[in-house]
Amino acid sequence: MGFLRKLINRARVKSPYVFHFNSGSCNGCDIEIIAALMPRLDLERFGIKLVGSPRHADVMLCTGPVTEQIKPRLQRIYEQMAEPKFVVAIGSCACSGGVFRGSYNVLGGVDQAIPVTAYIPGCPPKPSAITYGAYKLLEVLSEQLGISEDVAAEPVAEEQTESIKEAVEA
Amino acid sequence: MTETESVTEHHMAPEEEHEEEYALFRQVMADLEGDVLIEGSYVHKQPRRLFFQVLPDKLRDVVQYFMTTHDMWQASTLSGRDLGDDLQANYHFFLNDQKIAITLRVNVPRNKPEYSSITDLMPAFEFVENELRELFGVIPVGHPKPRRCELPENWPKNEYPMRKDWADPRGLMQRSKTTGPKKPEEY
Amino acid sequence: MTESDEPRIVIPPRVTIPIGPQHPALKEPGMFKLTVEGERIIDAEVNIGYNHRSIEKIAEGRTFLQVLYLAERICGICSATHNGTLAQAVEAAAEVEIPERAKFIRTLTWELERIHSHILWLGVAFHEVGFDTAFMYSWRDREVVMDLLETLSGNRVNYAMNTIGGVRRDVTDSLKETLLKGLDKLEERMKYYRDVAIYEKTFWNRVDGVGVLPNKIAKSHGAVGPTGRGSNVPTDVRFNDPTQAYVHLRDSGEFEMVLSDREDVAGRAIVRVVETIEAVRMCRWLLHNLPDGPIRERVRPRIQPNEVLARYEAPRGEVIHYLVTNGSDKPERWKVRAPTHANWVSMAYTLRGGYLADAPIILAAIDPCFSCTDRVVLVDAEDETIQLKPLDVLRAESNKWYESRT
Repeated sequence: MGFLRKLINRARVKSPYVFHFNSGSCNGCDIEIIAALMPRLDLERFGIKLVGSPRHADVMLCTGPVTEQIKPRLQRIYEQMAEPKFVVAIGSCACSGGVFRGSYNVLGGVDQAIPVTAYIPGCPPKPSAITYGAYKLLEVLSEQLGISEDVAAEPVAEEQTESIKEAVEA
Repeated sequence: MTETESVTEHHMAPEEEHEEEYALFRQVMADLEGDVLIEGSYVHKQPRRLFFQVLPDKLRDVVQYFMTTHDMWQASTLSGRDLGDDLQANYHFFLNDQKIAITLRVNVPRNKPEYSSITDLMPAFEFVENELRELFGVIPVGHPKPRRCELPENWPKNEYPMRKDWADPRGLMQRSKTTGPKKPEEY
Repeated sequence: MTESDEPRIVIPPRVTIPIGPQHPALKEPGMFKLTVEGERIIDAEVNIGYNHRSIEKIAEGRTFLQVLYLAERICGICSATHNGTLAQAVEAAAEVEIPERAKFIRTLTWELERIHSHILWLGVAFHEVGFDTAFMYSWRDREVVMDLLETLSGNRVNYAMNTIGGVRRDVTDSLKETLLKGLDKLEERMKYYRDVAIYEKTFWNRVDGVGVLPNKIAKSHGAVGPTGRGSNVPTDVRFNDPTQAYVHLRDSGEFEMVLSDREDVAGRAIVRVVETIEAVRMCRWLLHNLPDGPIRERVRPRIQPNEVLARYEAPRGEVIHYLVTNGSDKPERWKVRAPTHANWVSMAYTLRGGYLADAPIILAAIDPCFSCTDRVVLVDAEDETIQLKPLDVLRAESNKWYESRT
């Protein structure tokens, strides 16, 4: 790994750009994401910044079950993101389809359309849970990208590590 | 739905405490004799609710009557219903002067579910009528802009998911119940 | 004769700009096709349906108690609205009168939700006009009401306060004190924001005279909620068709409908801000006059055949639940009309003739909620005042004109 690559990886972990996409959610998770970015919890102190375009983003925050209509759009937006890219499913609906399971127009969780790196459950997850999830993701990323952090990394689930490794290598 | 059931669904209000509603109801029934059926039109027990059963080809006349005589401008919504042999369209309005919510409804036969659209009289119904056509297969004839509304683009033409006899031929309602998390190599 | 003697009419080319389904200005998926000539918007087309989750169909296979929690997830911002309105509809269908205390607590949740929703809107409006400081300020103070809702119901967004026959959680005396203290703080902050909205030029110059919706058009296009009231249309279900504790609130004579005759975005903003202060006062009145007694009534799971039309004034306007029951524990038909649905037509009118740069604030001014609506609107471009011709027709006509001259 060259010096430049190391630098880029370090920057990526220190300041990931996130991008929010609503794939059929009820708004509950969306307002909690914004609440997490607002003065009280202030996700930006971890370097996380919300951007408006998928082209600038490292991490996509997805909320809501995937509807039939939004699926091709979601996939297209995922393709537009630059590598390496990570998807975080926020809320029970984004994790599994939640209360909308059994609908003719809902496919299920976000993982039915695109690969997902991390899941944050809750209906909706509290801003503190979203902050914790984002922090956890950063921790895992720094471990995967070979950057020694002062935070003690907790053991991560096997599957999650695998998918992150693949996403980083891809 | 059988005849007896549809009768028990209608809970008539007692005359006392509903004087305003009954006054309006009697006036409308007298003015629109022949357009509005007596069976199915009633004052509901809930305060300030009137229901009128209208003949399908007279709907436009009745709406125009309400707009001119009772200054009806607040169009609320349109709900479809599947009654078995018939399909029903319920138009909900609110009379702001009298503060009474009225529902005009038309029954259309299942084998020929057509009646004339009122979107040109009240533009607010443009998309709810589209939605009715899409989900129930009831066609408002003369609709200025029939187009796809809620369902995905690849939805087949002759399937109306909100009808009671829609059998879910492609297993869509089971699909999302059975799926689990996907592995990365499945994408 | 030279050509310059004749007046030349330059028509800028018509360009259609698609916005969405994903766009920084939109918080939810929806698609807007704005047709512009230069900077002027001449046509707006709204395309929704990305959020269609077929809730009405799922509901037919679930019991009323299950549907109650499904209704809550129609929209996360107005979750108490749909939850409470459905509970109200089922109670009306079963002809059950719920205890007075339950009515007061239900209304209290609704009014607290109105405060949170209006502050949220205010923050979004500040953001859309580029006044991000006030955006951060108002969202910080929104946390006060979120905390109140959390102490009251146990959750920040989906409160699940209502059940069929009453409410699920009681208001204790200590909780009452906490709520009253929080309401005092909120009232003070809201008065500050009212002054910010009116006297701060950064905000006022961007909304004054923008997105004009005349009273007559608002009526004929069926505008509801603050959109209608900002154009002096007296539609407020809380006063026109009151249910629950709103009957007492109306009879107390201390509250009245907030109306503005400004007819522009500023009018809608003022209506919302003043309404928030009114909602704080309503909450305080409800807490001071909270009657004693049980908080819920037992209702049998099977509801007699009936059809009811339940109405309630959500933060965004009138919500309608049309419920048909058939004697079983599942609904025969349940139809929801969310307020945004009624506001699209008037919004498209206000967009027309405005500047492209004002489109985000005009869109935000109706406080659109796509997940409530998940439907499609198509608004036609036929503007009577301007004769519009597509480019190819124009080209053909100009060719003809040149031919006739030679």
